[in-house]
Amino acid sequence: MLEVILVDDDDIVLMMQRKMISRCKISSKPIIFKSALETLEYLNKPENLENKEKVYLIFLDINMPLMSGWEFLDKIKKHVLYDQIHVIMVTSSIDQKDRSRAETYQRVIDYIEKPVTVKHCEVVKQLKSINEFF
Amino acid sequence: MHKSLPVHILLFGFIEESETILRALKQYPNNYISQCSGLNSLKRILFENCDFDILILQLSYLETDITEILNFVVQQQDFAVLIISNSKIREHAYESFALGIEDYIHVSEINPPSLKRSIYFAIKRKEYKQQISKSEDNYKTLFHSSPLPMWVIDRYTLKYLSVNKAAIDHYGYSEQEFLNMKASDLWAREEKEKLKLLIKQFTDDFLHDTACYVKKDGTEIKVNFYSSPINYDQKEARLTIAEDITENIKIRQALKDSEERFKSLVQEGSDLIAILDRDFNYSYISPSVENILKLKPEKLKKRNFFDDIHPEDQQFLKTVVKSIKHGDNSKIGLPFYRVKDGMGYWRYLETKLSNLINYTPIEGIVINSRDVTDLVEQRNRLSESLSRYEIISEATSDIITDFDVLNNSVQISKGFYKVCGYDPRKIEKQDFTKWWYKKVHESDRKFIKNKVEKTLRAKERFFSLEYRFLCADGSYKTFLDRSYVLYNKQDIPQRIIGSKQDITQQKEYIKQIEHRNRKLEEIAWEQSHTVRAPLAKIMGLVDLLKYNENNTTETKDLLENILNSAEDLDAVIRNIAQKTYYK
Repeated sequence: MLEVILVDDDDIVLMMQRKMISRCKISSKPIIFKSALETLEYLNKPENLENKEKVYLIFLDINMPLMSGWEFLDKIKKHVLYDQIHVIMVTSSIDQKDRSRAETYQRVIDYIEKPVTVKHCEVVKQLKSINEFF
Repeated sequence: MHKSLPVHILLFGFIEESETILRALKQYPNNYISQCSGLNSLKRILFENCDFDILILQLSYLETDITEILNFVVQQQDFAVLIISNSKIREHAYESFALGIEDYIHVSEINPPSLKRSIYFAIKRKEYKQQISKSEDNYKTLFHSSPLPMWVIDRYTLKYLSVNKAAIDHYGYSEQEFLNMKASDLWAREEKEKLKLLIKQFTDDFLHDTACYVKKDGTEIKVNFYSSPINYDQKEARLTIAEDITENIKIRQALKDSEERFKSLVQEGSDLIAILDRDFNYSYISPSVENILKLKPEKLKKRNFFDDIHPEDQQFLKTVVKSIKHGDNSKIGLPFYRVKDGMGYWRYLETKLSNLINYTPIEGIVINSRDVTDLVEQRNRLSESLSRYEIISEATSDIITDFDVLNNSVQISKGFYKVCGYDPRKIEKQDFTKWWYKKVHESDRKFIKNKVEKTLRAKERFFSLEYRFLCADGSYKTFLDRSYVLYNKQDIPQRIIGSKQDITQQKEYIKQIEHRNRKLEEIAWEQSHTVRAPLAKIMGLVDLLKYNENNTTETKDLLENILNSAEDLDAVIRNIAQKTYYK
């Protein structure tokens, strides 16, 4: 099963993304975290650590206070669930450097510049690593 | 006839007519008459008193001692001898004259006047004979003691009749050898023809010429001979003086050579040599003045030394020159001065002056000048170039260093003081390398040292360094040090010439620019993030609005959010604007 997690420090963005994701039928009930730390905590929940079947699709914002998207990605490198996590970077940055950096992380399967649109969602559903779920 | 002069007469002997004779003699009161007879009494009287002017011998040939008496009398040199004889034998008369008796009278011829005359003539004859003898002696002395070789030769056979000591000493033959030789034996072989001809032409004349003679040991000498015809011992002869001029010739030649040498030096040399009199008028100018100043020597004669000198230089020259007149400054070098040459150009001369006024051969001031116009021009160009360099180095506020590697000495431009506050002259005296490294900032020091050593090891010519340098006031200045290394033929570094440029300010500017850039990068970053964030939200919200069907509450919500986002965006933009203007 696919669990979709939305990580962003902005409420409105989270609201928009949730609406868009459900409208595009990627997930009707995505899990929402306002910080990467919370996401990590969630992942480290015993029931999740043990669950080898769950595949996570995380829509990860880059620029967040306390822990940025990059820092999160670095933290999950040695995580137990590493192979089960797919990350889609979502950012309002149009900086080419961020895009290049995203490519260095193995679990990042896509890079979306905000706003997340219907078009994007269709593309996401087509992504090789997760299209089985759609 | 000086009848008044007293005459001392010694009357000797006795003949019959003696009374007559005595009476005749006594007629003249001036006569002092003494008498004697017999050889012994004659000797005695003469021994006691030699004051007689004349001895009158009354000879009777019957006397036994006549020969003895005559021989004795003839030996006496101091008085005249007159014989009055009663012998009619002529031979007696001839014998007497042959002995050198002054006169011989027969008693029958005597009368007082004639006797007086005879006495007078006899005395006079004796005088003349004495004079002649003295004269001969003088000549003999002159001949023999002459320092020049002299000889008397037979005019025709050329045989040596007499030769003096100088000739014997000079030619090496003994007197005996000479007397067995002929004059032509001394002549050099190549001269014989010429001399024979000469003698033939001027047999009885005065001869004077130069010829080559040969000494006994074979040495050839050059001789000036002077030969006069004379009579010698009733022979026709020549008296010759021979002057050896071989040495003279050598000396004269050496002198000539020396003169020639001097002349060439003076004329052909590149120096101008002149002699001035006390008033500094030219009394001699070497012909080289034509080459050097394009002036004819004749034109300069009688001109004054100061005439052609540049008016600006005349004043100080005159002061310098005064010191010669009053002091004994034998030799002084004048400062450079300008002289107008034959083409109208000013030329610089370097002159040395020697005061030889008190030195008899010169009696003037000798000046020795060199044209140094080129030198002066070169110096001027050099000094111009140097001052240009100094000005430039000051203008650029670069410090120029010229480091002599081998002597570990350095020359630093004045800018060093201006930029760092160190006195270049004091630094030049120290061990520069050590001192300089100490002043480099600690953190730069090692890197700098390595780079320099690497450059030198690799025999590279150029290195460029940037480092902080400690100034005299304790502050650090950043230097851009660009240096050029000169290697000698053995590839050993000889000299390092470089410029140290104070780039502290540039560095500061760069820092500021970098700071600005960072700021701009931040802004650009912010643009891509913070500006875009609310904008992306707006876009997303509008997109959602499009899909929102008839849900007015949600529409209201969405619109509210759009407005908020728009305001956020506005705030961000304002923020950026503020940051941009932030200095």
